[in-house]
Amino acid sequence: MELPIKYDPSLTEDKWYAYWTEHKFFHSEPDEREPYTIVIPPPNVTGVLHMGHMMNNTLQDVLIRRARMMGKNALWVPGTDHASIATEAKVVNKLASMGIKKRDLSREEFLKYAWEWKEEHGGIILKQLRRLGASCDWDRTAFTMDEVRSESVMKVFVDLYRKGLIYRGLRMVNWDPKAQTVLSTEEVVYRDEKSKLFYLRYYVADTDVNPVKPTGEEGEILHKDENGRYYAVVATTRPETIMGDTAMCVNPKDPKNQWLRGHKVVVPLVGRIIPVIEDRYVDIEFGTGCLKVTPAHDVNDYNLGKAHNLETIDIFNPDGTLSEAAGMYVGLDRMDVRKQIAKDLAAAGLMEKVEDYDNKVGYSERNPDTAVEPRLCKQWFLSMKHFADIALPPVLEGKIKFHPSKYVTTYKNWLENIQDWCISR
Amino acid sequence: MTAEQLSRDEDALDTWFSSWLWPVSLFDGINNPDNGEIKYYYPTNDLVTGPDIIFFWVARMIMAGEEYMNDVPFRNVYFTGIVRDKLGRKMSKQLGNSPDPVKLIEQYGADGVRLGILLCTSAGNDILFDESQVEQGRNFSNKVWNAFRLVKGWSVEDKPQSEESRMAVEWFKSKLNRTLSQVDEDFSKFRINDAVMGIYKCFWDDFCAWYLELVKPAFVDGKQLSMDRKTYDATIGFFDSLLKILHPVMPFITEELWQNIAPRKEGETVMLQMQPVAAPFDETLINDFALATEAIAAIRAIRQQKNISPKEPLKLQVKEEGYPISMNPIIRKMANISEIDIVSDIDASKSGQSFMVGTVQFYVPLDGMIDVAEEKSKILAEIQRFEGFLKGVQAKLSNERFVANAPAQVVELERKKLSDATTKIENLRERLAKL
Repeated sequence: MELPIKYDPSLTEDKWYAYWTEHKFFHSEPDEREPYTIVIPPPNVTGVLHMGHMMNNTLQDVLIRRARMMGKNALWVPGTDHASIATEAKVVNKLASMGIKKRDLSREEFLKYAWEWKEEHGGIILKQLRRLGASCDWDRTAFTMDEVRSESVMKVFVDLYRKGLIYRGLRMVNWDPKAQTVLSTEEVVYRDEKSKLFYLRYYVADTDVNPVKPTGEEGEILHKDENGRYYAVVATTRPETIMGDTAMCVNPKDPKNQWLRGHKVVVPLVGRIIPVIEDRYVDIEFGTGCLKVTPAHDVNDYNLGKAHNLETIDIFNPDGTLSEAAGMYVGLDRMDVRKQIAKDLAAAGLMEKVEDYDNKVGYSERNPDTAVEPRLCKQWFLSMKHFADIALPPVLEGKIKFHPSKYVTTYKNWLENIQDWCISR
Repeated sequence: MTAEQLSRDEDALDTWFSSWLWPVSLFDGINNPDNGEIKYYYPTNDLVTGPDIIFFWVARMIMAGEEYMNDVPFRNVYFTGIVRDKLGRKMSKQLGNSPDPVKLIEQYGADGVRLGILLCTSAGNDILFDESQVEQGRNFSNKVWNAFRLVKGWSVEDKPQSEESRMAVEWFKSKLNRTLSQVDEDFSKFRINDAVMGIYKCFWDDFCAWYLELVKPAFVDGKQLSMDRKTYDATIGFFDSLLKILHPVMPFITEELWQNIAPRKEGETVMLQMQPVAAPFDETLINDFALATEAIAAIRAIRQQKNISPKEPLKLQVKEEGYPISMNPIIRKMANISEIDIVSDIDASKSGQSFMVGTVQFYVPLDGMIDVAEEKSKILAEIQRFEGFLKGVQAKLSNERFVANAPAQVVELERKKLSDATTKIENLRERLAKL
């Protein structure tokens, strides 16, 4: 056969790829030879090939082809990942174009559409991998949500639950009150905003049994009204959440607020008496140095609440209106309550002042005019202590080698400071 | 409690809760822990992934593997870097700096793209991607292709093997074996880019630039002579080995050529051939040859400098100390040397040029090689030619309409021509002055 003068890849690539697959050269079955196996890092089923995939899969193909030519029974298993949210977003968009809302569908109905989407549009990337010559055993193509894989997941969940390693706990999530769904960190869009900073009066509640004793030290700031009553001033951008306050917090090093230590204060309008707690987490420079603690509606407050054993009062319904637990403004939207409560606080003489304030506010990528609400949700957790214990030795002892080896330290540090894995979304 | 009283949790599982089982669940090892496939394929060998998911994925697979299989899920993890653009920026849709790999494949061929990427990839380091890299890949595809056509164009005859061909075959055999053992070592340490670079250089520099040039039959009266069968068979054998070594990197072109290098049956493929195994090699021979190639390069430089045609044979004196005499045929052929005198002392009484390679002294006698008058008139003619050329370029560049309307690249090219020609004229004048 006469070869063309110039090499033309288009005349060889499709031809030989078809030849290889027709003859099942990529297929592997167990036999007496030594196996050599690679499992593909499954790309998202919604994905298309980018340069990162190109590099990663070329490397894998080089390794697998070389092993095959060293007489090993080489197997490269391909597949795709459902990547839950990415796929869900695609299906929700498709449904929207058909005039169907996800919340009107049952789980089974939604899954049916999801599978239809996957069959029709999914896995483009696997076809693209063929173009680069990837010698995967396509007969074994898997999906992280196919029958065998789903059954495996279920089995493992039950097994770990029975072993006492899976438990339920609270976790702060990003909630979109309009879509009524949890958002991933990537789906929160932060925008600069001109807000207001409200300075609220929290009167000292226990002066009869525990009189205020000014320290007289330099930098101390006392607040006293015309009737001689002491109060603390708290600066907040979110006065509508005070119904969920369960403590006020000062920094023990803050000279301004030493006189508040050990006291109790009254949540304005609400009338609830809450303790003044001390924590070095509080920024002395922000506002007055007095922080209202609302464990149900702020991540940092939630952590403070955990550290100081505070009560958690969730004052919002899932749609962003105030719930029965708020006790006031029940059924009104949080944004309307913010305006109303500011007026009511001022009328009651509990508003020290209001200032303009520039801050960043998180909005939902799905509903750009909806501010994200931090919300505590019951979630499933996997206890990681046991897993860290079994996963460290193989890497430290070299049973698994990392290339480059610098990642061994990264791995060790992470495992030694591991947190429980929140496995639900 | 009855089943009807139970309801399913509305939440979904974190996506990593399915992928952490991947090396086990792919072989159904969770549902059927004792099945033949999981027993055979598990633990897998190598995982190639990004360091950004070392915790999300790699660590958790190790956990699941230890928990459910009591064994590691893989033996090696190769952490890739991030592919960035040539300015070091992360590739993104917004920046528009992320080429479409499928389009690159269409433009440069899959093999070209693969090679281009592999050459600049090293474990754990980000790669700065530039299209010139896949262009380099495509150029290499063309090099392999052209080398193959060259070899297949030779005619073969039963006749004695020349000394330089015999040497060339011996040398390349050693060189190939050394490359093979280096490639093996690089692969075992996951230095894949080094391994690929080693193969690339072995093909381009050793095989094409030296070996093929050495054994290539000469042309006599415009007709190429034939090649002896021994050298030809060796050459085909080397090519066959090189195709196999190259196959994992460039699967398509190597299959095309392997299918053409010898008659093949339906169902045969290069991808199931055994890789050549590294055999012992002659380190001394490799070093001696390296010395010869340096000497050849030096002689070629002298020819250029003195304006002596490569077709004109030269003489060479070599001081015997440290010179491997076995390299005579190589130097003779590649530097067109008619006579090599091995001497105890260089006789530099007449005009000539000396040079050293390592500690070995060489001398090229040039007495009578240069006809001063002829040389002068040659140089003068050259200067005249360049001056004419220069005028044309200057005229173009002083034409305002051309400078204003032609694309910037074209104008730039003209300016380059101007400066190149000026430099050349200067060099010629210098040579003229020395004569």
